[in-house]
Amino acid sequence: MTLDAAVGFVFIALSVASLYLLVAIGLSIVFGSLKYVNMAHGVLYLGGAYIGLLIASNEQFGGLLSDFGAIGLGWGFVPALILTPAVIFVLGVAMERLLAKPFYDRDLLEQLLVTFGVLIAAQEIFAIVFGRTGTIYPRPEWLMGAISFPLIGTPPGMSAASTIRVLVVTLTLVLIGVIFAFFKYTDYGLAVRAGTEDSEMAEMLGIRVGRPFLLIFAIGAAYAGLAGVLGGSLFNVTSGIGMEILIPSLVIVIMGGVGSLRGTVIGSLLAGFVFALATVVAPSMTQASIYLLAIVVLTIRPSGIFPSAKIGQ
Amino acid sequence: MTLLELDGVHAHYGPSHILRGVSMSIDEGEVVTLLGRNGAGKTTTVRSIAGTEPPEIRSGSVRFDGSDITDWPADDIAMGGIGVVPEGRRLFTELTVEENLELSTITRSWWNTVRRRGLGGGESTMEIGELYDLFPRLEERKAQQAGTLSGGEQQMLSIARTLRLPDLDLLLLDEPTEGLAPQIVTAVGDSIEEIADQGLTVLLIEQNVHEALRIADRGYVLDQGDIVYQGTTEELENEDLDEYLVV
Repeated sequence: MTLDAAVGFVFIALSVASLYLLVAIGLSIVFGSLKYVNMAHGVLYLGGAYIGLLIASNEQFGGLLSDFGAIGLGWGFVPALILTPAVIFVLGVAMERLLAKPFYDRDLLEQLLVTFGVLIAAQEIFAIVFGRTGTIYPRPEWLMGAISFPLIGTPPGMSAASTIRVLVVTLTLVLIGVIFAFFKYTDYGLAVRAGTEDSEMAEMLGIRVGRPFLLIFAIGAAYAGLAGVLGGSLFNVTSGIGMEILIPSLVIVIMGGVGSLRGTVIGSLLAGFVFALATVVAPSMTQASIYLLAIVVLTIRPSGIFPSAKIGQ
Repeated sequence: MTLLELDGVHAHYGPSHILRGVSMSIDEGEVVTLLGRNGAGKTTTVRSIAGTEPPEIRSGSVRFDGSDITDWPADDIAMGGIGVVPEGRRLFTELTVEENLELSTITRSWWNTVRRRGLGGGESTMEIGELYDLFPRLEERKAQQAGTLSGGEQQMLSIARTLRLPDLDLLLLDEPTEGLAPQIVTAVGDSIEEIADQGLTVLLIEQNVHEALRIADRGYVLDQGDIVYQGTTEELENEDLDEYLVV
């Protein structure tokens, strides 16, 4: 394998890992801190992909929208990248208040059934409204081809590293740094860490734990929404992508250790590399490869990679 | 002036009727002890005052500083001036000593205070320097995780954390000497006396009768969810209360 091909492979793996990570991180935090299994998290990814599409482009959809001609603001990729997480953040707030909060004290199975139902219903609604045919994100010219810098152009060995994949990986690195800093350096992060360990005690210290929990839920939602835009740029956008991303992300959360940020990062990296490797050596096994990985990891470490890690670590 | 008043409080844990009409009061600046055997209802009394659920108060009232706080949530009660040092310390073991102490200052964050009953927002009852003077060991261990501290240090941190709350008027101490070595019991007791000397009103829940009577001005004896005796420290010392207490 040449250096260029190896670098290209690494960026494919890292970009896939990034998408999983951006979705899994919200799932993991909410599962770890609020003990809430949110299968409807997939709706946020799905919603992010379509909202981003409506912001970025102006095109003809199928389904109920087929009679309306080309639809969308057509503002381009960057506005979609900025505005979509903001919209999904608001959707996350509504989801926490209306869907999640009433079920915090309920059984895990009830949470699973309700949120899974919401995901399936949402996917069906998206299919009816936008049609079942896949849509491709319009990519601006600067996102086409190999990464290229002003003055130096494409660095040696990077000819197979596409700009969009480098962007996905870079953005994810920044956002992971932001979430670690949130937990370590902000009052909200401290309140979430304390509230996760003993929410009643935090309340006896005058802290309204519901508010930081709401914020962290919405941040997780915004990350999933952004992943929808980035994922939509790497793959097709269809009404089934919510489920497609959610199940592997949930597997990654369990593999990494529920609630552990480090575990989620490492689980995503493992999944990304196994996925990329499978596309090369056994393309028919690409989807199954993540589950096989999970079987191996959970056989060796039944409680995940970082089983005792606390929220924010 | 009466700071805290419980009037005929009946508290339940599901079908279990734990407090059966508890009535007691504490005046401003007093140190009052609530004594009783295990299961008498002492911790339920603390939880009823602190606003934590369970228990559910089905009748009676809790009044604090002129307001009926019976139905207030725990966070509003903390912001209103009642600090709780709970049984078992309940520190955030993964957080450092410093982070545990910072938590009580979060109560002054704008997001935490909006739409409250006009409560809180003031300065800490004791600033960090004063707390480190009171508990020097905490300063030495400020970067350490709370879960790695010794029992005595954890108790000091639990008290110190509560003293960081803003505008604290009443300190509820639930079994602060439980599980501590005898010399540490005296040290913790001395710290409580020092805090009380600064004018803070204290309700001290104890099984250790001698230590409680050493510190308190007066006391109540609780048995099977009801107050069975009340009096000054001297009266309590002279009364034969073996039936109700672990002496």
